[in-house]
Amino acid sequence: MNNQGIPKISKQKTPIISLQMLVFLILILAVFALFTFLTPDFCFLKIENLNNILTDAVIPAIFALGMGIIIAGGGIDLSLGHIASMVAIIVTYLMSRGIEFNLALPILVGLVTAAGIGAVSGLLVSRLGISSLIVTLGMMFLIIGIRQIITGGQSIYINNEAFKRIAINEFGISNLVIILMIVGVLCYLTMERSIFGRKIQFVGANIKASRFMGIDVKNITMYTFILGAVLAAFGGILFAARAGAVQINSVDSNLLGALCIAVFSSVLFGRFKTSGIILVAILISMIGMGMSMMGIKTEWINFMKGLILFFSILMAKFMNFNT
Amino acid sequence: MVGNIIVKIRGVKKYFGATKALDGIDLDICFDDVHAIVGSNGAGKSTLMKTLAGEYVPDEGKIYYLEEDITGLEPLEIQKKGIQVVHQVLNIVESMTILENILLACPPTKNGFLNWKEGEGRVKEILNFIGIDFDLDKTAGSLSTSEQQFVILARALVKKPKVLVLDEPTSKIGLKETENLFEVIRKLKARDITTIYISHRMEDIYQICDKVSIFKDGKCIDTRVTKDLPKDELVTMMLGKKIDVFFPNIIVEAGKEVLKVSNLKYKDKINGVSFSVKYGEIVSLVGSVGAGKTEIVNAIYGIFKPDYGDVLIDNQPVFPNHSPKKAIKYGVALVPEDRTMQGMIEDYSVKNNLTAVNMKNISKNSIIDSKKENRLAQELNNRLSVTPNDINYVIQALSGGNQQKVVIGKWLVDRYKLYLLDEVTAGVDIGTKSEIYRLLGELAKAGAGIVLATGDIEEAMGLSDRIMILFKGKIIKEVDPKVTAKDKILSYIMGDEKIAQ
Amino acid sequence: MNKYLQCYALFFGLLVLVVLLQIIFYDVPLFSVLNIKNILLQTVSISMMALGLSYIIMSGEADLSFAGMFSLLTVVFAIVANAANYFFIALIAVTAIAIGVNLIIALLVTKLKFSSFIVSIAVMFMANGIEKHLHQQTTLINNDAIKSFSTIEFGLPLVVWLMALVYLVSYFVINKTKFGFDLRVVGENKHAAVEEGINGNKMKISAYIIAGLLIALAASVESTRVGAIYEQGQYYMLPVFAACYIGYSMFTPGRVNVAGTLVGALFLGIIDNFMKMINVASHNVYILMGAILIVSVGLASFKNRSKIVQIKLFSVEVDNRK
Repeated sequence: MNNQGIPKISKQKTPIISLQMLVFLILILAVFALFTFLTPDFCFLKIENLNNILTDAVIPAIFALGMGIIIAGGGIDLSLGHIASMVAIIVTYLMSRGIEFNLALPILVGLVTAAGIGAVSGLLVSRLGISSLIVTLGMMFLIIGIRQIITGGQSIYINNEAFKRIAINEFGISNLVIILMIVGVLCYLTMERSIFGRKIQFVGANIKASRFMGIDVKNITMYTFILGAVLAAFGGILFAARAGAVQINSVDSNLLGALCIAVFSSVLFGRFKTSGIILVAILISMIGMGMSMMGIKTEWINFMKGLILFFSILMAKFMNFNT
Repeated sequence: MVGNIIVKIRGVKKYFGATKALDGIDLDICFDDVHAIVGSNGAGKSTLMKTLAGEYVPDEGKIYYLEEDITGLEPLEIQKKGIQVVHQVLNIVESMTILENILLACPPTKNGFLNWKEGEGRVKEILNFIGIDFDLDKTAGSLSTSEQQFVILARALVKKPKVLVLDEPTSKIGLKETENLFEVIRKLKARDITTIYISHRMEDIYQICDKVSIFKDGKCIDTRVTKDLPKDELVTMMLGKKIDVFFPNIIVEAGKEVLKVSNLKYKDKINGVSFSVKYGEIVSLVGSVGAGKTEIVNAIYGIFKPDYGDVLIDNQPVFPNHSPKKAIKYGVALVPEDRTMQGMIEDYSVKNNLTAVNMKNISKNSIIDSKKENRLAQELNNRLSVTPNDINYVIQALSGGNQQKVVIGKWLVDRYKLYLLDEVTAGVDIGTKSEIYRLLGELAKAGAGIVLATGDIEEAMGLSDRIMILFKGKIIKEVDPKVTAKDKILSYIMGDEKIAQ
Repeated sequence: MNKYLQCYALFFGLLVLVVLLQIIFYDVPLFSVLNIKNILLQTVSISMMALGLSYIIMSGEADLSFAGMFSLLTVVFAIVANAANYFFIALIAVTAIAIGVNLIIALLVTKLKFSSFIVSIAVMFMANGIEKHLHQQTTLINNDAIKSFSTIEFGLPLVVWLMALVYLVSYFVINKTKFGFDLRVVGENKHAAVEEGINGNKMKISAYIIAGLLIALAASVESTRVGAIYEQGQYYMLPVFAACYIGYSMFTPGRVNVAGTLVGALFLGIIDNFMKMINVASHNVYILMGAILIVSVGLASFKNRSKIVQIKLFSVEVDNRK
């Protein structure tokens, strides 16, 4: 008898606003209220602040979506941050070399490079049977080395105005937020509504049975790494656009935040839930913003992320959710 | 001991959430008996044994061993008292040697350090007793499942139990090994060791067991002396109702050839197998465990690549570059041997599992249409009478028989040319069994070819047009079930030497 | 026979490789007495961390926390050393913290059934945050006596003897005692451990405590050698993992083992030292190490390459006992 702790109704096909989602939205509002009182002069409540929170959440959310896809398929990718930084370097380098008339080409090259790296990782995992932990750990260091060779350790400054426009406030709301919405919709359609996404989730849940059902588990696994890398690269490009420059290792740290968000979301909402990931990213951005407004130093941010991971597993235990 | 009773179980209840796995068990095991426990899946047999072994603590009730209350003791303490359980799942440590596996709980030490040589004598003695010869230095992972079963048995015996519990011991071993096992049990009986024997198999129970207890829905219905209990009365007690006819009456005109297997070879598991199946035919591959049934159907379905041979589906060759995806495209369906690990995605809903194979049917431009999915799933649920009838139920929450219905159900969405079924009624209660048989009959009537890989001779005889007897990876005989006697088939399966040549 | 060949083949392959390197670059004093001492000295902390990680992997868990904990502990050591001016006080402080943290992780993993993978990542974050906060206050150890700890020699540096001792003891414990046997059983088949009355929780907690002790030692040694390590903890992730997994394909059929981890750590130390001597920049070393890690695990898993290894993020264990 194995009925203990197993939810009877499947979590996987719940409506867009589910019970967990509702609880989480209430949580967000509660945290928002908390910070409103804790910050001096209630500055947390201002409109620009709201915009900032959303904007700050965009890039971590995109990274988390990439990580989420890979986790949904049963793997992990520790090199996402480094892939993103590598691509950011390549893109800004190409732009600074005079390909100014066409913004799209360098970005395309960057994304294709990311897809290539993801494909290599994916192949090693799916065709050679090496654990993705090991593969991506090794890949991470490979990229550190290659990146150093390419840049010689120098930062690259971005002169291309059109590129930087990606990150500004166009229509009262930051462009980034609009980009996130587009990416979010695409992720939702791909992962939660399409056959392809369903296959990824099956492979992550039970790879043996997926094989017996005729799913090409090797290719699906590889595709998750490619998609994850492309999303991460996209995040890196946005990061560069926002920062106006690319330092050699500035993008790396995004990995851990992405993992934190993706794990938290999958604990609460199920194997892959786009809206869940985005909401968690917003919550974390809110907490970060609130903390800095309260004057808490930035080094505690990492500490806080760790705490949030703890918190999320704790919740998983007590709410008895499966992935 | 009072009245010769060695283990006394009184009013034991165990709940898992809302499920009453054990609902007040009262049971007496007599000293030196070989005592069978039978019952459908979910009746509580394994749960009770795990409770006896100390892995579970009963929510209510008491367990007595030699008049001593052992309720709630830790597994190690219960083992020290003399009760050993050989579980259904064989937990060997693959990278360690046979010697290490057998002495897992009591590794021999000398001056505080491990000294394996010291234990060899003891282990060799036990293996002798069992009647098996192992190279003690071989790693356990390289053994066949049948051999592993005996390693686990040795592990239990080396601790000199007074009560030995065997949970489905013959499900993974061949017929010769089964005889071996029965001999061991008889020897144990002669040494005053009590055996509790859990099994689905009537043949086992009637052959070796003195008494039989029937479990149903978490209760012990009755305990009877085996030889005084007629078989159909036993079945009736297990079901609570009389079952007359299991097998549907199937009369189908066979069409042309749907499957042709030629000279299939794979390591030492498949040794040159050739056969063919026509549309509308039900052909059984019958053999004991290890005979090669699973390997053959898996090879046809593309799970692995055989060393040699050809397979034609509707006259189209599938090799090279075969895969389950290709098999499905060619119209082949497979219900795999292991329901939980291979047949379903346990965390997901009934509906997701039912639509898993051909999602194109419920989607448009690769986007899944949930209304179509719901409708399709509900249709199948109704057709198969899945209980409870809720397509959003997590499939893991269903009983074994209902799970199997869903596992089969996904192959009913489209019309397939060939159905490969590997132990399709294993671990399924009798009521669901006859439903599955009825379903197979319908499929055959609709024109599909069916290959039934099974170890259940009655099932093969009741359903098939032809039976192919498999022994050590070869088809040694093809028989017509209508004119061949059951014990003749049995003797072929056991590898009657003359016939195997 | 075939299996044993595979086990020792990699070992001899590495040996041959190293000898070849010396032959090709004959003017590089790779095997001079001084250089060997250097190599050993530099490898001490990584090899001890790798050993600690090996214990945890052998017990069936995973751990990434050492990446954050290591740099934190070196900073703590420096702070306490400067404050108390005694080596052993700093050592005890660091050991207490390391064992304490690992004990908490172990309890979360065993009693509350948290995934060790996620918990260790969380701890890594948190350690990182604390370290950032702390290293504004101190840079290097001021006390020369303490700093020279790593130079005390009895033929070889004291700390090298320490490393050898620790490995020797571990080899015996893992392979020749009931404790080591039970530990391995728990790691390889936890159900078998439960059935046979082996206390899995006790084994895992012990593994974590030992790992805590080892990382404390490693941090103390490294702190006296080079001072506090600032946020470089993540760069240790690779060599430590690589050491364990190079050993994975060596000596025992596909599992992490003590001798293999040592060989792996030493091999990486030799490569690192060699690269420095022929003036290869460190980033190229990273490339090489990354490649070595992937190749060595690839070799070990080659037999099972058709089986995709997945990451279990959550341990879905239901304890039905009580």
